[in-house]
Amino acid sequence: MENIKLILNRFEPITEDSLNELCKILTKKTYSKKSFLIKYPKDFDKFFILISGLTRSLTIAEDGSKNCRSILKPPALFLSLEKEIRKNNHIFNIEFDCLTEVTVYEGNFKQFRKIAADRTDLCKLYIRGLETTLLKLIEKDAMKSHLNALERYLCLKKEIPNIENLIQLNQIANYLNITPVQFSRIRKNIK
Amino acid sequence: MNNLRDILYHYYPISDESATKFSEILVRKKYKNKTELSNNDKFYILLDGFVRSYTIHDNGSVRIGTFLSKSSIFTSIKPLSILSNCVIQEIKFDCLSDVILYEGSFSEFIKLTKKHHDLSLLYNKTLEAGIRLVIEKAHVLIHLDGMGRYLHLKNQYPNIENLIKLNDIASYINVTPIQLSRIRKTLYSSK
Repeated sequence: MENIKLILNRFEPITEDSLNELCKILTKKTYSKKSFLIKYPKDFDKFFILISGLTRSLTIAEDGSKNCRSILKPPALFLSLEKEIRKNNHIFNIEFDCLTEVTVYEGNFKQFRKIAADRTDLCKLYIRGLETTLLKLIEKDAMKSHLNALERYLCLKKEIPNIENLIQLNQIANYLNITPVQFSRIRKNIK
Repeated sequence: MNNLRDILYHYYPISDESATKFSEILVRKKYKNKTELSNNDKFYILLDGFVRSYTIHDNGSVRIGTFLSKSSIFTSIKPLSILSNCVIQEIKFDCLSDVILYEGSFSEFIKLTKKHHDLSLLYNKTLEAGIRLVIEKAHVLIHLDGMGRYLHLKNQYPNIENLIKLNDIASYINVTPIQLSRIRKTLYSSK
């Protein structure tokens, strides 16, 4: 429980009372590498607090091709947001899977909404979570349009220095949106 | 005033009292085409016209983040926080046509959300909408080819060619101007 508090305080400090309520709907779980946290078309009600390990979010196109949208490292709060952002004309699905073995607190988002409905601090926590996500996404979007592959790789290295030891190189290439061959050339040039 | 209610209702139904309080911090303004909107502690509700957001990299390159059309609510991310990475410093907004909008102070709004819970729920919804916009853009860029991206953009904003230069469109959908001209030729000569 102290653990949860520490992580949440990084986003937004919440009261003891709200923390207790929140802990009631959370369960601690460990997932092995490659297992799915959120798999289309179910699990949309879940939300996660990442404690250790790396997870990634994938978008899936109609033709089944997958692309890694972001790599998440602790401390992170995430959920599929499927219901929140779905519109009639939407064309993509979102999945989350584990790149390494991960430990998470898992909860039901509907229940969270219920207890957050009349608690300002939890609502603010959710806002902070959303703001963080939005900033990250905008940053990644800007990164994609301004930088070339080498610079993108350096940015990633800066954020997670030992990334090569944690996940496969082709997964990194997919995140950078380049082919594995290009990626290997980039790495060669740096050395 | 009714107009404003309609837009807000589209996001979240707020109470009359909150709506009154909210409208007190808003000023209705008109801006000419090409005006740059101040991004210092401001948020905007667009009533009519088109606005784009863009980022400038240290090396001087300008990239369009997204287009905003009628009834969007937006703010610069500046009031939210300072970005961790060095890629971009801030996000700027300028008008692509003559626009009519409501303008308000972001910190005043945050103050209001503390008293009025439904306003923070409204803020939630606008953040979710923002996230959706960015995810969708990332998805379109990754999964569709140049033609697909152009069609997607045309679908969203049918008269986009009249608003911005073709070069900017090309940069937005991440193709070269030459490619774009070929795409347009293929599309329009076959009709």
